[in-house]
Amino acid sequence: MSAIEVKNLSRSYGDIEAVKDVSFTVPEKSFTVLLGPSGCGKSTILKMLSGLEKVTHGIINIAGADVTDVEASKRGVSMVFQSYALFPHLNVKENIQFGLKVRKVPSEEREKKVKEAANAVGLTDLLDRKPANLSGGQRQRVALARSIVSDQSVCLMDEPLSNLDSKLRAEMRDEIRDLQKRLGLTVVYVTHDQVEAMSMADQIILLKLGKIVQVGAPEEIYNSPNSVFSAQFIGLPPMNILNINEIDISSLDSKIYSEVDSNKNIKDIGVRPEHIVFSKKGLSVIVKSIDYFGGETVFKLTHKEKDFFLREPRQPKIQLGDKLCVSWSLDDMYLFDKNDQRLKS
Amino acid sequence: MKDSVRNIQGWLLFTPAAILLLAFTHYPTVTTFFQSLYTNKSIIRPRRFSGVEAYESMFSDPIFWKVFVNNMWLALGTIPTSIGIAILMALIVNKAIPGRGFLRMAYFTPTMLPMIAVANIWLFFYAPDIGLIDKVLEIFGFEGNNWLGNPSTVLPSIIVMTVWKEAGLFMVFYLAGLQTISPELEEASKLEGSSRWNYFWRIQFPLLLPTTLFVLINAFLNSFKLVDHLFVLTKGGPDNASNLILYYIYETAFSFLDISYASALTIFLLALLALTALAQFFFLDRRTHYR
Repeated sequence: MSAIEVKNLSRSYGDIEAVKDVSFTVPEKSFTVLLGPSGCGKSTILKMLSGLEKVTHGIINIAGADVTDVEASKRGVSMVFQSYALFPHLNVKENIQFGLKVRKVPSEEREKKVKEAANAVGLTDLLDRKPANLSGGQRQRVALARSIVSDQSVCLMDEPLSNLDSKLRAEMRDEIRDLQKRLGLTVVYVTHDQVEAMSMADQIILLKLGKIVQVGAPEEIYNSPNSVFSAQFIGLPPMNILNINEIDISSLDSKIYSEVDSNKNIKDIGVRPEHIVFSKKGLSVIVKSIDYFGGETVFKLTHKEKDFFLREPRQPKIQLGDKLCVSWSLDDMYLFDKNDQRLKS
Repeated sequence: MKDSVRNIQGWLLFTPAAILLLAFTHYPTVTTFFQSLYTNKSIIRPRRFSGVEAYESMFSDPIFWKVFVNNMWLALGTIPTSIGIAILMALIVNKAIPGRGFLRMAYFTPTMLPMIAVANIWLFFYAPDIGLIDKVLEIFGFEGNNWLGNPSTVLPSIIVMTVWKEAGLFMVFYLAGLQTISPELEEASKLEGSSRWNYFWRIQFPLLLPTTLFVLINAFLNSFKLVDHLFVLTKGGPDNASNLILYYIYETAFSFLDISYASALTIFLLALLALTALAQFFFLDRRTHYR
């Protein structure tokens, strides 16, 4: 059974359509990421799921019930906000049990639940602190504990890691994922960070300008993007998109050449940076920059004033300005039509 | 740079402010205190040291007690009401409602008017028979009242007017306070099933405590400081029913020309306000959350 089912969801503000006819389902106990650049409507969708934002058109089902017009607190969802939304005058314990008090949970049960939640996120020693005396990561944990303690099956997270530094972000990523698995939560997670999406998600919903571009598991979107947008949004550096009229396709491998030449619909070819290799024959390039990361080296190459990236796990002896040739295998090449859609071969 | 040079620079920067403060605040305060310890000088009698005589006569002066109690009633009548109304108005104009800008301006208008102008407007409201209030009462068949001429209604009338004048100013402070509260807090509490009232009482009001402390001190000081309207409305009458400490000081000093007694009254007022400000500061400060 799916925990959340969204059908034809739209939201407009005056003439501006922030979300256009979006439909998707979130399986129970799964981790779904709404991913997209800023302004793609991902936060608006999350707020509509939570009930904090009105729905213009469409239906939202949570746990089998139509909640489109149900008020926020009765939808069975909890939320972790980008700014954590902790109450600054209440200590950690009061913050965690705020909702329990509102719902008049008896004090013994309240104590027990707060203890469990604090334990789950490692806050047991900090219950008396005020949010002002906590670090960013600790505040994040309080917000998580508040969400856990509410015992709702669905947890919504709005860019919860964007205020943390990169090391802490990586730690919290693991922790949130671990917590979700342990407690069997259904999580809908909004982010613009493709690394977060790739490392955490069971399912990624990729959005652009209020519309869904592609839905799938991380590896599915990475390995078979359905459009130029998908291909370039996921992966770092992004997939190289080369217009076939701007490069010297005749210099490529004969199999690739015949494949590209045979189909008149092809506008671009795409190759991931790690699939391009230096070779004796192929596209002639000049090395424009070299970024050494230890585990890998990223080369920025230029061919007929068109820049693209090559990623190498080793450190080949190559200097800036070297004139070389690159190639790739037919299986690693993606083809896109003039509407930037993927052509299935 | 040498320490001594830095010290001299510091003192030089401090001097202009120090001169102004000494000349216009500390020196007059100290002079007033000494004047209260001496009798008045007149042609036939020279000034002589009288110690606390002026204070003794103050505590046995029934008019002093009357204006003091009046002042306390004024404070009690205006402060909670104007704070309550100010919070309410601030909550209203903090919401995204049509005509918000106009409402904010309307609420703030009474504050921008000088007290004398406010008194003139309310003089028209309170005028017996022909005034706005009596005219409205007449429509509903009630009998009018000489609001400012009746000892039992004059102080409440002035309280109403003061609330009308002050609430707008306090609203601005509360509005500023409300806008520092992140809207995500309201969303978070809504998701937890918290009612509007619970959100106000558990979250907004505690977070507004620093504002409330500030407003409380100001409102209390204002209730002793604002007397301009008495010149226009009642001159403290009838039978001192609307007289206030500061107006009484003014009358004593400049109408009755009793400088010694006026000085004693001034020192009393000064001590009262200083103590209150300190007490409020220390008592409320401990229980107030500051970000």
